[in-house]
Amino acid sequence: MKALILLCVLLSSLTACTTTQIDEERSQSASVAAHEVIAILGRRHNANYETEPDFISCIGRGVSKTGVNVLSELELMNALYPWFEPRTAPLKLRRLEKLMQIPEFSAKIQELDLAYIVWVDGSTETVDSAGSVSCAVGPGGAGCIGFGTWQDDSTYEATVWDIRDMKTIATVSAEAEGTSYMPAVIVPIPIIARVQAAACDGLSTQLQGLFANP
Amino acid sequence: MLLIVTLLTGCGPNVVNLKNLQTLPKPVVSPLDAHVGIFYDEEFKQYTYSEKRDVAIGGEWIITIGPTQHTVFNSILGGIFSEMRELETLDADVTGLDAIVVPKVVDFQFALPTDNRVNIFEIWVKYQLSIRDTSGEELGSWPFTAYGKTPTAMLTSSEQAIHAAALIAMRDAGASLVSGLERDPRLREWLGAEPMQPKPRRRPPPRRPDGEGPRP
Repeated sequence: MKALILLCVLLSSLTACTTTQIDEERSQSASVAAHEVIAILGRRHNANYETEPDFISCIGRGVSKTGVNVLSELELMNALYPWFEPRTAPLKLRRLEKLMQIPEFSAKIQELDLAYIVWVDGSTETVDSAGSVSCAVGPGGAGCIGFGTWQDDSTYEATVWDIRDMKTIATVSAEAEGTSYMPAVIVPIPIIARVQAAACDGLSTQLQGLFANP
Repeated sequence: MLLIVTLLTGCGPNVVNLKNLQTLPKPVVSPLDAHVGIFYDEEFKQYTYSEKRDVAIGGEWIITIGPTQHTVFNSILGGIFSEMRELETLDADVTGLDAIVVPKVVDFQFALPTDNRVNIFEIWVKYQLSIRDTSGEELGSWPFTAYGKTPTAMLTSSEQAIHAAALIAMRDAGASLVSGLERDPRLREWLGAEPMQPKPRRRPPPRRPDGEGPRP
Protein backbone atom coordinates (compact mmCIF):
# COMPACT_ATOMS: atom_id res chain seq x y z
CA MET A 1 0.00 0.00 0.00
CA LYS A 2 2.85 2.34 0.92
CA ALA A 3 4.54 1.63 -2.39
CA LEU A 4 1.32 2.44 -4.24
CA ILE A 5 0.98 5.78 -2.41
CA LEU A 6 4.63 6.57 -3.14
CA LEU A 7 4.12 5.73 -6.81
CA CYS A 8 1.04 8.01 -6.94
CA VAL A 9 2.97 10.88 -5.34
CA LEU A 10 5.88 10.41 -7.72
CA LEU A 11 3.62 10.28 -10.78
CA SER A 12 1.65 13.34 -9.71
CA SER A 13 4.83 15.34 -9.24
CA LEU A 14 6.04 14.65 -12.79
CA THR A 15 6.30 17.72 -14.96
CA ALA A 16 7.08 18.04 -18.64
CA CYS A 17 9.87 20.20 -20.04
CA THR A 18 9.38 23.88 -20.83
CA THR A 19 11.57 26.14 -22.95
CA THR A 20 11.72 29.84 -22.06
CA GLN A 21 13.33 32.72 -23.89
CA ILE A 22 13.74 36.13 -22.24
CA ASP A 23 14.73 39.40 -23.93
CA GLU A 24 15.33 42.67 -22.14
CA GLU A 25 15.89 46.17 -23.40
CA ARG A 26 16.74 48.66 -20.67
CA SER A 27 17.56 52.33 -21.06
CA GLN A 28 18.12 53.00 -17.35
CA SER A 29 17.73 51.33 -13.96
CA ALA A 30 14.76 51.89 -11.73
CA SER A 31 15.04 53.48 -8.33
CA VAL A 32 12.19 52.96 -5.88
CA ALA A 33 12.30 54.68 -2.49
CA ALA A 34 10.95 52.83 0.56
CA HIS A 35 7.75 54.90 0.64
CA GLU A 36 7.05 54.55 -3.09
CA VAL A 37 5.00 51.90 -4.86
CA ILE A 38 4.91 50.33 -8.27
CA ALA A 39 1.82 48.97 -10.03
CA ILE A 40 1.75 45.92 -12.27
CA LEU A 41 -1.17 45.90 -14.67
CA GLY A 42 -2.41 43.63 -17.44
CA ARG A 43 -3.50 44.91 -20.82
CA ARG A 44 -7.18 44.19 -21.46
CA HIS A 45 -7.93 46.14 -24.63
CA ASN A 46 -7.40 43.36 -27.16
CA ALA A 47 -10.57 41.69 -28.43
CA ASN A 48 -9.11 38.20 -28.90
CA TYR A 49 -7.34 37.67 -25.63
CA GLU A 50 -6.72 39.31 -22.30
CA THR A 51 -3.72 39.11 -20.05
CA GLU A 52 -4.68 36.72 -17.26
CA PRO A 53 -5.19 38.38 -13.83
CA ASP A 54 -3.53 35.40 -12.09
CA PHE A 55 -0.44 35.92 -14.25
CA ILE A 56 -0.29 39.56 -13.13
CA SER A 57 -0.63 38.44 -9.48
CA CYS A 58 2.20 35.96 -10.05
CA ILE A 59 4.49 38.73 -11.40
CA GLY A 60 3.47 40.95 -8.47
CA ARG A 61 4.42 38.26 -5.95
CA GLY A 62 7.76 37.78 -7.73
CA VAL A 63 8.66 41.48 -7.81
CA SER A 64 7.59 42.09 -4.20
CA LYS A 65 10.29 39.61 -3.10
CA THR A 66 12.81 42.40 -3.69
CA GLY A 67 11.10 44.43 -0.95
CA VAL A 68 9.41 46.83 -3.38
CA ASN A 69 5.81 47.74 -2.52
CA VAL A 70 3.58 46.43 -5.28
CA LEU A 71 0.07 47.79 -5.74
CA SER A 72 -2.40 45.20 -7.03
CA GLU A 73 -4.29 45.72 -10.27
CA LEU A 74 -7.66 46.18 -8.58
CA GLU A 75 -6.25 48.61 -6.00
CA LEU A 76 -4.88 50.88 -8.74
CA MET A 77 -7.99 50.55 -10.91
CA ASN A 78 -10.19 51.51 -7.95
CA ALA A 79 -7.93 54.34 -6.79
CA LEU A 80 -7.88 55.92 -10.25
CA TYR A 81 -11.33 54.87 -11.46
CA PRO A 82 -12.29 55.08 -14.32
CA TRP A 83 -8.95 55.84 -15.98
CA PHE A 84 -7.45 52.34 -15.89
CA GLU A 85 -10.46 50.40 -17.15
CA PRO A 86 -9.96 48.46 -20.44
CA ARG A 87 -11.69 51.26 -22.37
CA THR A 88 -9.78 54.16 -20.84
CA ALA A 89 -6.38 52.80 -19.80
CA PRO A 90 -3.57 54.86 -21.36
CA LEU A 91 -1.89 52.91 -24.14
CA LYS A 92 0.88 55.49 -24.50
CA LEU A 93 2.68 57.82 -22.16
CA ARG A 94 1.30 60.81 -24.03
CA ARG A 95 -2.18 59.87 -22.86
CA LEU A 96 -0.97 59.47 -19.27
CA GLU A 97 0.59 62.95 -19.48
CA LYS A 98 -2.83 64.27 -20.56
CA LEU A 99 -4.51 62.50 -17.64
CA MET A 100 -1.98 64.08 -15.28
CA GLN A 101 -3.48 67.43 -16.25
CA ILE A 102 -6.62 66.46 -14.30
CA PRO A 103 -5.80 67.86 -10.84
CA GLU A 104 -7.64 65.06 -9.00
CA PHE A 105 -5.77 62.43 -11.03
CA SER A 106 -2.27 63.81 -10.42
CA ALA A 107 -3.12 64.36 -6.73
CA LYS A 108 -4.13 60.71 -6.44
CA ILE A 109 -0.89 59.57 -8.12
CA GLN A 110 1.06 61.63 -5.59
CA GLU A 111 -1.04 60.35 -2.72
CA LEU A 112 -0.33 56.76 -3.80
CA ASP A 113 3.41 57.52 -4.20
CA LEU A 114 3.26 55.73 -7.52
CA ALA A 115 6.72 55.66 -9.11
CA TYR A 116 6.43 53.08 -11.89
CA ILE A 117 3.74 51.29 -13.86
CA VAL A 118 4.56 47.92 -15.40
CA TRP A 119 2.21 47.03 -18.25
CA VAL A 120 2.09 43.33 -19.07
CA ASP A 121 0.59 42.30 -22.39
CA GLY A 122 0.17 38.75 -23.68
CA SER A 123 -1.45 35.43 -22.95
CA THR A 124 -0.99 31.67 -22.77
CA GLU A 125 -2.74 29.55 -25.37
CA THR A 126 -3.04 25.91 -26.25
CA VAL A 127 -1.82 25.87 -29.82
CA ASP A 128 -1.96 22.16 -30.62
CA SER A 129 -3.51 19.00 -29.18
CA ALA A 130 -3.72 15.35 -30.17
CA GLY A 131 -4.87 11.96 -28.88
CA SER A 132 -7.76 11.12 -26.61
CA VAL A 133 -8.50 9.56 -23.24
CA SER A 134 -11.68 7.56 -22.68
CA CYS A 135 -13.11 6.77 -19.28
CA ALA A 136 -15.87 4.36 -18.35
CA VAL A 137 -17.75 3.35 -15.21
CA GLY A 138 -19.15 -0.16 -14.77
CA PRO A 139 -20.45 -2.39 -11.98
CA GLY A 140 -16.91 -3.75 -11.49
CA GLY A 141 -15.24 -0.34 -11.18
CA ALA A 142 -14.06 2.61 -13.27
CA GLY A 143 -11.03 3.31 -15.41
CA CYS A 144 -9.54 5.29 -18.27
CA ILE A 145 -7.44 4.35 -21.24
CA GLY A 146 -5.73 6.41 -23.93
CA PHE A 147 -3.09 9.06 -24.47
CA GLY A 148 -3.47 12.80 -24.87
CA THR A 149 -0.95 15.52 -25.57
CA TRP A 150 -1.17 19.28 -26.03
CA GLN A 151 1.22 22.17 -26.55
CA ASP A 152 0.94 25.51 -24.70
CA ASP A 153 2.64 28.72 -25.80
CA SER A 154 3.07 31.80 -23.62
CA THR A 155 4.04 35.17 -25.04
CA TYR A 156 4.25 38.20 -22.73
CA GLU A 157 5.84 41.61 -22.88
CA ALA A 158 6.31 43.92 -19.89
CA THR A 159 6.82 47.64 -20.46
CA VAL A 160 8.01 49.76 -17.54
CA TRP A 161 6.88 53.40 -17.36
CA ASP A 162 8.68 55.83 -15.10
CA ILE A 163 5.85 58.07 -13.87
CA ARG A 164 8.08 60.81 -12.48
CA ASP A 165 10.07 61.32 -15.70
CA MET A 166 7.27 60.17 -18.01
CA LYS A 167 9.36 57.78 -20.05
CA THR A 168 9.69 54.10 -20.82
CA ILE A 169 12.75 52.73 -19.10
CA ALA A 170 12.62 49.04 -19.97
CA THR A 171 10.87 46.41 -22.03
CA VAL A 172 11.11 42.75 -21.09
CA SER A 173 9.62 39.94 -23.15
CA ALA A 174 9.18 36.28 -22.27
CA GLU A 175 8.27 33.44 -24.57
CA ALA A 176 7.74 29.95 -23.18
CA GLU A 177 6.52 26.76 -24.75
CA GLY A 178 6.02 23.23 -23.58
CA THR A 179 4.15 20.03 -24.36
CA SER A 180 2.03 18.27 -21.74
CA TYR A 181 1.20 14.55 -21.80
CA MET A 182 -1.57 12.50 -20.25
CA PRO A 183 -1.15 8.73 -20.53
CA ALA A 184 -4.04 6.82 -19.00
CA VAL A 185 -3.97 3.17 -18.03
CA ILE A 186 -6.88 2.84 -15.59
CA VAL A 187 -5.71 6.06 -13.89
CA PRO A 188 -4.84 9.17 -15.97
CA ILE A 189 -1.37 10.50 -15.16
CA PRO A 190 -1.04 14.17 -16.11
CA ILE A 191 2.51 15.26 -16.94
CA ILE A 192 1.98 19.01 -17.24
CA ALA A 193 4.37 21.53 -18.77
CA ARG A 194 4.15 24.59 -16.50
CA VAL A 195 4.42 27.05 -19.39
CA GLN A 196 2.72 30.07 -17.85
CA ALA A 197 4.57 29.58 -14.58
CA ALA A 198 7.88 29.46 -16.50
CA ALA A 199 7.01 32.73 -18.27
CA CYS A 200 6.09 34.28 -14.91
CA ASP A 201 9.39 33.14 -13.36
CA GLY A 202 11.35 34.53 -16.31
CA LEU A 203 9.63 37.92 -16.33
CA SER A 204 9.70 38.22 -12.53
CA THR A 205 13.42 37.52 -12.38
CA GLN A 206 14.17 40.24 -14.94
CA LEU A 207 11.92 42.74 -13.18
CA GLN A 208 13.46 41.86 -9.83
CA GLY A 209 16.83 42.79 -11.33
CA LEU A 210 15.41 46.09 -12.56
CA PHE A 211 13.76 47.09 -9.28
CA ALA A 212 16.29 45.66 -6.83
CA ASN A 213 17.88 48.54 -4.96
CA PRO A 214 21.61 48.75 -5.70
CA MET B 1 -31.70 4.72 -5.77
CA LEU B 2 -31.37 7.55 -3.26
CA LEU B 3 -27.89 8.31 -4.66
CA ILE B 4 -29.20 8.50 -8.23
CA VAL B 5 -32.02 10.83 -7.17
CA THR B 6 -29.61 13.15 -5.36
CA LEU B 7 -27.31 13.26 -8.40
CA LEU B 8 -30.12 14.32 -10.71
CA THR B 9 -30.07 17.97 -11.69
CA GLY B 10 -32.91 19.86 -13.22
CA CYS B 11 -32.83 21.73 -16.50
CA GLY B 12 -33.86 25.14 -15.16
CA PRO B 13 -32.70 28.46 -16.56
CA ASN B 14 -29.26 29.93 -15.91
CA VAL B 15 -30.01 32.80 -13.54
CA VAL B 16 -27.55 35.64 -13.00
CA ASN B 17 -28.51 38.25 -10.43
CA LEU B 18 -25.84 40.89 -10.46
CA LYS B 19 -24.78 41.70 -6.93
CA ASN B 20 -24.48 45.33 -6.08
CA LEU B 21 -21.11 46.91 -6.68
CA GLN B 22 -20.63 48.02 -3.10
CA THR B 23 -17.03 48.99 -3.75
CA LEU B 24 -17.49 51.04 -6.92
CA PRO B 25 -15.12 53.92 -6.31
CA LYS B 26 -15.90 57.58 -6.74
CA PRO B 27 -14.64 58.74 -10.15
CA VAL B 28 -11.37 60.68 -10.16
CA VAL B 29 -12.58 63.66 -12.18
CA SER B 30 -12.91 67.40 -11.85
CA PRO B 31 -16.65 67.85 -11.24
CA LEU B 32 -18.49 69.82 -13.90
CA ASP B 33 -20.29 72.87 -12.64
CA ALA B 34 -23.79 71.63 -13.43
CA HIS B 35 -26.86 70.84 -11.35
CA VAL B 36 -28.43 67.78 -12.86
CA GLY B 37 -31.52 65.74 -12.01
CA ILE B 38 -31.68 62.08 -13.00
CA PHE B 39 -34.79 60.03 -13.45
CA TYR B 40 -34.73 56.23 -13.63
CA ASP B 41 -37.90 54.45 -14.65
CA GLU B 42 -38.81 51.08 -13.06
CA GLU B 43 -37.72 49.21 -16.19
CA PHE B 44 -34.20 50.63 -15.83
CA LYS B 45 -34.01 50.01 -12.08
CA GLN B 46 -35.17 46.39 -12.43
CA TYR B 47 -33.74 45.65 -15.88
CA THR B 48 -33.72 41.92 -16.61
CA TYR B 49 -32.74 40.32 -19.88
CA SER B 50 -33.98 36.86 -20.73
CA GLU B 51 -33.25 34.68 -23.71
CA LYS B 52 -34.23 31.12 -24.56
CA ARG B 53 -31.67 29.26 -26.62
CA ASP B 54 -31.32 25.67 -27.68
CA VAL B 55 -29.94 23.57 -24.79
CA ALA B 56 -26.86 22.72 -26.88
CA ILE B 57 -25.91 26.40 -27.11
CA GLY B 58 -26.61 27.51 -23.57
CA GLY B 59 -30.31 26.96 -22.75
CA GLU B 60 -32.38 29.64 -21.05
CA TRP B 61 -30.72 32.67 -19.47
CA ILE B 62 -32.15 35.30 -17.12
CA ILE B 63 -29.71 38.11 -16.37
CA THR B 64 -30.67 40.91 -13.96
CA ILE B 65 -28.51 44.04 -14.01
CA GLY B 66 -31.09 46.70 -13.05
CA PRO B 67 -30.28 47.35 -9.35
CA THR B 68 -26.54 47.41 -10.06
CA GLN B 69 -26.76 49.78 -13.02
CA HIS B 70 -28.94 52.06 -10.87
CA THR B 71 -26.13 52.18 -8.26
CA VAL B 72 -23.42 52.64 -10.89
CA PHE B 73 -25.17 55.55 -12.62
CA ASN B 74 -25.85 57.29 -9.29
CA SER B 75 -22.24 56.84 -8.23
CA ILE B 76 -20.75 58.06 -11.51
CA LEU B 77 -23.11 60.96 -12.16
CA GLY B 78 -22.88 61.96 -8.50
CA GLY B 79 -19.11 62.26 -8.94
CA ILE B 80 -19.20 64.01 -12.30
CA PHE B 81 -21.55 66.89 -11.49
CA SER B 82 -21.32 69.48 -8.77
CA GLU B 83 -24.89 68.52 -7.84
CA MET B 84 -26.86 65.44 -8.80
CA ARG B 85 -30.36 64.79 -7.54
CA GLU B 86 -32.36 61.61 -8.19
CA LEU B 87 -35.93 62.45 -9.18
CA GLU B 88 -38.78 60.18 -8.08
CA THR B 89 -40.95 61.25 -11.02
CA LEU B 90 -40.52 63.35 -14.14
CA ASP B 91 -42.96 65.87 -12.59
CA ALA B 92 -40.81 66.33 -9.48
CA ASP B 93 -39.62 69.76 -8.36
CA VAL B 94 -36.69 70.74 -10.58
CA THR B 95 -35.90 74.09 -8.99
CA GLY B 96 -32.20 74.86 -9.19
CA LEU B 97 -31.45 72.21 -11.82
CA ASP B 98 -29.81 72.89 -15.20
CA ALA B 99 -30.89 69.68 -16.91
CA ILE B 100 -32.57 66.32 -16.44
CA VAL B 101 -31.01 63.04 -17.55
CA VAL B 102 -33.13 59.99 -18.33
CA PRO B 103 -31.11 56.83 -19.05
CA LYS B 104 -32.52 53.84 -20.88
CA VAL B 105 -31.23 50.41 -21.90
CA VAL B 106 -31.83 50.12 -25.63
CA ASP B 107 -30.04 46.85 -26.33
CA PHE B 108 -28.45 43.99 -24.43
CA GLN B 109 -26.44 41.09 -25.79
CA PHE B 110 -24.34 38.36 -24.32
CA ALA B 111 -22.11 35.74 -25.87
CA LEU B 112 -20.90 32.38 -24.63
CA PRO B 113 -17.77 30.57 -25.87
CA THR B 114 -20.04 28.48 -28.11
CA ASP B 115 -21.09 31.69 -29.91
CA ASN B 116 -17.82 33.47 -30.39
CA ARG B 117 -15.44 30.51 -30.85
CA VAL B 118 -12.99 32.05 -28.42
CA ASN B 119 -12.77 31.13 -24.76
CA ILE B 120 -14.45 34.23 -23.42
CA PHE B 121 -17.86 35.24 -22.08
CA GLU B 122 -19.06 38.68 -23.17
CA ILE B 123 -21.75 41.17 -22.16
CA TRP B 124 -22.66 44.20 -24.23
CA VAL B 125 -25.20 46.84 -23.16
CA LYS B 126 -26.27 49.82 -25.24
CA TYR B 127 -27.60 52.80 -23.31
CA GLN B 128 -29.23 56.01 -24.40
CA LEU B 129 -29.10 59.14 -22.27
CA SER B 130 -31.97 61.50 -22.98
CA ILE B 131 -30.99 64.99 -21.85
CA ARG B 132 -33.87 67.36 -21.23
CA ASP B 133 -34.32 70.90 -20.06
CA THR B 134 -36.24 71.59 -16.87
CA SER B 135 -39.51 71.90 -18.81
CA GLY B 136 -39.06 68.35 -20.08
CA GLU B 137 -38.13 69.17 -23.66
CA GLU B 138 -35.39 66.94 -25.05
CA LEU B 139 -32.21 68.83 -25.87
CA GLY B 140 -30.45 65.81 -27.26
CA SER B 141 -29.75 62.16 -26.74
CA TRP B 142 -26.45 60.39 -26.44
CA PRO B 143 -25.95 56.66 -27.06
CA PHE B 144 -23.09 54.82 -25.43
CA THR B 145 -22.10 51.24 -24.80
CA ALA B 146 -20.76 49.16 -21.94
CA TYR B 147 -18.76 46.00 -22.57
CA GLY B 148 -17.35 43.31 -20.32
CA LYS B 149 -15.60 40.04 -21.01
CA THR B 150 -14.02 37.34 -18.97
CA PRO B 151 -11.93 34.34 -19.98
CA THR B 152 -13.30 30.86 -19.32
CA ALA B 153 -10.16 29.59 -17.63
CA MET B 154 -10.75 31.65 -14.49
CA LEU B 155 -14.20 30.43 -13.58
CA THR B 156 -16.05 27.33 -12.59
CA SER B 157 -19.48 27.87 -14.14
CA SER B 158 -21.07 29.75 -17.02
CA GLU B 159 -23.26 31.73 -14.60
CA GLN B 160 -20.20 32.81 -12.64
CA ALA B 161 -18.46 33.85 -15.87
CA ILE B 162 -21.44 35.89 -17.08
CA HIS B 163 -21.70 37.48 -13.62
CA ALA B 164 -18.03 38.51 -13.77
CA ALA B 165 -18.40 39.83 -17.33
CA ALA B 166 -21.49 41.83 -16.32
CA LEU B 167 -19.64 43.42 -13.38
CA ILE B 168 -16.85 44.46 -15.75
CA ALA B 169 -19.50 45.85 -18.12
CA MET B 170 -20.98 47.92 -15.27
CA ARG B 171 -17.56 49.39 -14.47
CA ASP B 172 -17.16 50.04 -18.20
CA ALA B 173 -20.51 51.89 -18.26
CA GLY B 174 -18.99 54.36 -15.79
CA ALA B 175 -15.82 54.66 -17.86
CA SER B 176 -17.87 55.17 -21.01
CA LEU B 177 -19.92 57.95 -19.35
CA VAL B 178 -16.84 59.78 -18.10
CA SER B 179 -14.89 59.50 -21.36
CA GLY B 180 -17.99 60.60 -23.32
CA LEU B 181 -18.30 63.73 -21.24
CA GLU B 182 -14.60 64.37 -21.70
CA ARG B 183 -14.74 64.02 -25.48
CA ASP B 184 -18.16 65.33 -26.52
CA PRO B 185 -18.63 69.08 -26.03
CA ARG B 186 -22.28 68.83 -27.17
CA LEU B 187 -23.03 66.67 -24.18
CA ARG B 188 -21.57 69.20 -21.77
CA GLU B 189 -23.48 71.98 -23.49
CA TRP B 190 -26.81 70.11 -23.22
CA LEU B 191 -26.14 69.54 -19.53
CA GLY B 192 -25.44 73.23 -19.03
CA ALA B 193 -21.94 72.36 -17.86
CA GLU B 194 -19.89 74.27 -20.37
CA PRO B 195 -20.83 76.17 -23.51
CA MET B 196 -19.59 74.67 -26.73
CA GLN B 197 -16.56 76.62 -27.82
CA PRO B 198 -16.31 77.61 -31.47
CA LYS B 199 -13.45 75.81 -33.19
CA PRO B 200 -10.36 78.03 -33.52
CA ARG B 201 -10.02 79.40 -37.02
CA ARG B 202 -7.19 77.89 -38.99
CA ARG B 203 -4.46 80.28 -39.94
CA PRO B 204 -4.36 80.96 -43.65
CA PRO B 205 -1.28 79.38 -45.28
CA PRO B 206 1.66 81.77 -45.71
CA ARG B 207 1.74 83.46 -49.01
CA ARG B 208 4.62 83.13 -51.41
CA PRO B 209 6.98 86.10 -51.49
CA ASP B 210 5.63 87.05 -54.91
CA GLY B 211 2.14 87.24 -53.39
CA GLU B 212 0.72 84.70 -55.86
CA GLY B 213 -0.98 82.45 -53.33
CA PRO B 214 0.02 79.79 -50.80
CA ARG B 215 3.35 78.00 -50.86
CA PRO B 216 3.14 74.55 -52.48
